[in-house]
Amino acid sequence: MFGKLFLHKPLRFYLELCGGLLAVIASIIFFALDRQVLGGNIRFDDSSYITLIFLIAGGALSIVDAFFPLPFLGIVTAILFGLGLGSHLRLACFPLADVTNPAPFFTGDKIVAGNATTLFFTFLILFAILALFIVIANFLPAKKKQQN
Amino acid sequence: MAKSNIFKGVAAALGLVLPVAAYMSVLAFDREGDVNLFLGITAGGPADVGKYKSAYESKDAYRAAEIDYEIRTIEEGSVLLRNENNALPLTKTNITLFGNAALRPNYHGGSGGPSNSGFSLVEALKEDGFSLNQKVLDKIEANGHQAGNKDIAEVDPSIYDPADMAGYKDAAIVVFSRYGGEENDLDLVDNDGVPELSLHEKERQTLEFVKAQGFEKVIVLLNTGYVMETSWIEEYADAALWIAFPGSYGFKGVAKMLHGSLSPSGRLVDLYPTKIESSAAMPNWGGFKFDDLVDLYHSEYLVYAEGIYSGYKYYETRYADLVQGIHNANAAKGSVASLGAWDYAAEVVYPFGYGLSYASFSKTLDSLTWDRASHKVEAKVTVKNTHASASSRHSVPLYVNVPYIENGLEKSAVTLIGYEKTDLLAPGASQTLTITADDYLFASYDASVDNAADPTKKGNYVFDEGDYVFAIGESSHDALNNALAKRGIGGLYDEAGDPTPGNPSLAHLEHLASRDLQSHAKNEVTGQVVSNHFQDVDVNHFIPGAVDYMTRADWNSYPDPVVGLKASDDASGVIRKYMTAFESFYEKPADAPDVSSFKFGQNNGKKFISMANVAYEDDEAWNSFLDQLSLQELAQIPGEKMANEAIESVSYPKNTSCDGPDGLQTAGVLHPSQTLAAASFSHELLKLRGQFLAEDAVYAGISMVYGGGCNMHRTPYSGRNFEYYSEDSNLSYLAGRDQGKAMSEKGLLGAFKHFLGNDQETNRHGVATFMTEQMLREGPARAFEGALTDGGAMANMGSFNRIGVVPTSSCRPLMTDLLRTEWGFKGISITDSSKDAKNYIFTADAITAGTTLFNNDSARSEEVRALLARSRDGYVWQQLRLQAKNFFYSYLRSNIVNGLSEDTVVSNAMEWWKVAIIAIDASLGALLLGALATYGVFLIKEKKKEAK
Repeated sequence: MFGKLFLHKPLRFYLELCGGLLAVIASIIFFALDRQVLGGNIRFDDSSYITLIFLIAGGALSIVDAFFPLPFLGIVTAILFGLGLGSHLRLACFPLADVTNPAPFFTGDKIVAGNATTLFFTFLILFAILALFIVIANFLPAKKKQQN
Repeated sequence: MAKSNIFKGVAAALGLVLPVAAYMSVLAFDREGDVNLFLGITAGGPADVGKYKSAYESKDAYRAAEIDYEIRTIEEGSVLLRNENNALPLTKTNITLFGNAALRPNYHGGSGGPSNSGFSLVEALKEDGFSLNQKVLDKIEANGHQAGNKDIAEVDPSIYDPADMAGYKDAAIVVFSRYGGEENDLDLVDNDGVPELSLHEKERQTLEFVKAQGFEKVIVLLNTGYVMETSWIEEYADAALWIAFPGSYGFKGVAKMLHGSLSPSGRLVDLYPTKIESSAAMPNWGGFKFDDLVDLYHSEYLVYAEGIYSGYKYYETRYADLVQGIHNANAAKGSVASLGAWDYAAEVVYPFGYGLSYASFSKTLDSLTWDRASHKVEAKVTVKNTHASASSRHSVPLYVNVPYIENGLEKSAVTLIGYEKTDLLAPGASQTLTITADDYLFASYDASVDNAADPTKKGNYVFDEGDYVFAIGESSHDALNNALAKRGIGGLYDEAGDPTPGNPSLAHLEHLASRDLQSHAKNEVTGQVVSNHFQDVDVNHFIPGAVDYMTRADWNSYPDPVVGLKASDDASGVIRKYMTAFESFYEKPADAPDVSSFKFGQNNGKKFISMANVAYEDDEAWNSFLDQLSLQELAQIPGEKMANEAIESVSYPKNTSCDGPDGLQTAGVLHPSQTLAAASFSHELLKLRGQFLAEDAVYAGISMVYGGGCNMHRTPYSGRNFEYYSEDSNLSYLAGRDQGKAMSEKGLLGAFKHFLGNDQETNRHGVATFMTEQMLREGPARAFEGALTDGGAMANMGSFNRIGVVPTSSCRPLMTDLLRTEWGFKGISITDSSKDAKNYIFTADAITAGTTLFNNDSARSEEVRALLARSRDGYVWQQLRLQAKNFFYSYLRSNIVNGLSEDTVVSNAMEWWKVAIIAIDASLGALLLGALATYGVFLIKEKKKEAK
């Protein structure tokens, strides 16, 4: 029965399923690493939980849409991904304004700052790729063409 | 592909892009000050109109004058460390450059201000008529990279080929550099595995290569804002010149000095030890953590265990005791280069205040008086240029050797108290200088006595009974020898270890019959009692016996690293309370006024500019003015964003601020580093520095610059030493006073930073900084005092560290009791960039402590609004009004008033880029809605088609 869920599925299904699952997993991993690297101490600037909420919600809806496609659900998913990605991009880009005045990323500790910057930009790229999956999926039909 | 799928995909794409764009818009608006500075959008008044208009007819005219000033600063600030057989100036012009920094010098350290670029050494030398060995330059070009953190980036000396030297052996110029900056102290173990400020193996090999080539002369240029270990200079160089970071045009001056049309006349602002780790502060430099605290910004500490003996004060005081055979000065403790019993000559290469010139000078101390009533010391010194051909300026620092009472107050054996500098003296010419110094600069703070003006309080500046010997000399060490000779002490020697009798004719002795507690029991200007405010900055206050501060009574007390402190050892729990606070520790006082006692949104007809001549003390006028502000406007003020918005109700125009201190970030000329300016020992040059920064500002539309820098060179390893004046707090006092006054007089708010105790970059966020009150007052605080009192600077920028365990910006004893009450400061206190410090510098705490603005942190305004509107805290409201008054009072003394009149209408017009961003976001939103609608239409059509 479980196998039937994956029978005769179009490319869109796999993009949404992979994108959704990876988004959920990656955002949880990011959040856990973020806590570890920054020690959970950055109270005002570190709104990475917003990224977590949007990406988990977007990922979950993407999985639902993969199995049970609804007309506007894919667009809602893309908007949620956009919110998560935007939140994350803002966090990642915040220190770029300090480039000419090389203040660190969030912290005065060079090691932590370096790790945090690497962490944020690595996941930024990953989240952007997953968001692209979701957008491409929306261009694709929900059902595979019937072979005559 | 179905049309519905196309529009669904388009809608999804827009649905993804719109929120991302919106977030980026939020980011841009958050950092609007940075965006505006990047785009060159500033807000100051016109340059050619008003009280603070430019002194020049045009921008070109002022820039030309500014370049002349930059070159003069290099000339007067560069320190000639060695010049054997008149190796400099060079008379022949075919030269070879060595060292990566010859081609890739550092113009600036890694910190705020203009970028690290400028007119290069190579260009400057060619412009001045030198012929350079291009083959060697090409090899350096091909084999090097710019120096960076932990990386001196010296090229591999194997690239140098003896065959390339032919025709260019008139002189070898070897350039070595060190680079550090914000968040970047230099490292005791750098990428080459050695102390960053020591001579590296590649550098030694380069010098060996040069030595073997038979150059007529070997010249070394030290392109560094930091003290380097330089005992090798004697072995390898005929001449050596410290040029610090020379700024945009400084190398033009360097070339002229090498060629002889200019003569260096600077003096060292820091002592150069043989091994830097011999400094008494070094054992407690770097990272230290409470054993039982863990959280970032909430767990680190630093102890100034050296007490008052930082920099030269340690070496010279120990020397004074050594030659007298007292206080175990010859103990091995603290010996690094001495290899056994401590020996001054082994430990020191160049003393504080050392500096040669192409000319030579004789000096006579014509007279010296210490007027106890006016508190002024006045010395007349005649300087004569005895050189046959060279002209030069010559500075004369004045030092004092004060009496030390056994086991009494800690005293440095020699202290700089003033200086003057001659004009350019031609051979045979002479000039009599009058050096005036305030005796406050050599009074000692005794925290244990009752205050003479108010016996209910503890603490008083004192003059102990005994002999006070004032002296001049070629360095602090030479002056000390002259003073010791005046006291009849023998066995003296110079920094090279050669015996010297000293010159008592260059010293003057005054005897004080009894201890004086009256002279400085009160602040001379404000009349406020000067008493203890910082007893809890000493960790022993919380944990008795935790630290043994170094004492002159026994040099075996040379500090060990203070490790293993535990917050739990503080029975009062205060250390833990403040160090672990993640929420505000502000408590509303019981006698807080009721919010109903404050008016807001009134229409009293008073505009900002109309307050220009209203005295600070005129509470009625100021209250009437402040009553006009709405709650929103009052809350808006603290949230600075490299700018402050216009306040329409009182016609306050928008202002722009920027980072410094070696020039205005993005908008100004890169000046030679501040430490080099201080090395000029010239009041005139520091005033010119202030004036030109103000000229930069008025043309750039900037009203506040975050600078100058007044932290101390506690150790040579602090990454920002280049933008602070000196290791000597009195030199910082005097230089800051001169620069601050010039900036204020020309309408630039100089936010002297980082107030205070940010004397290293390592762990600067939230580090608990412990020291005695005597140290705090005579050291880190004194360094700021000149700028913020006599200098009349209208702003200061806080530091990221804690003073004791309380964050400086939240420390009321510092920000109000000392700064505003005792010193009488009436200006703006702005935090350092507080977005990086929100988890320990809390809004209510800082405002009620005396902080005015939160740097680059407009989100604080939201918190203030909440405090006013929801908490209805009358005390916060009262303090906020006080800070608003300080804000307006200060900006009325800035170039923002240029061209402003009662008729001026101000508004918060939106910048073009904000309009553009909003338009883009709105367009994306409209497109998204369109795509959704179209998708819906096609979806319905396709469903209908399917149904048919």
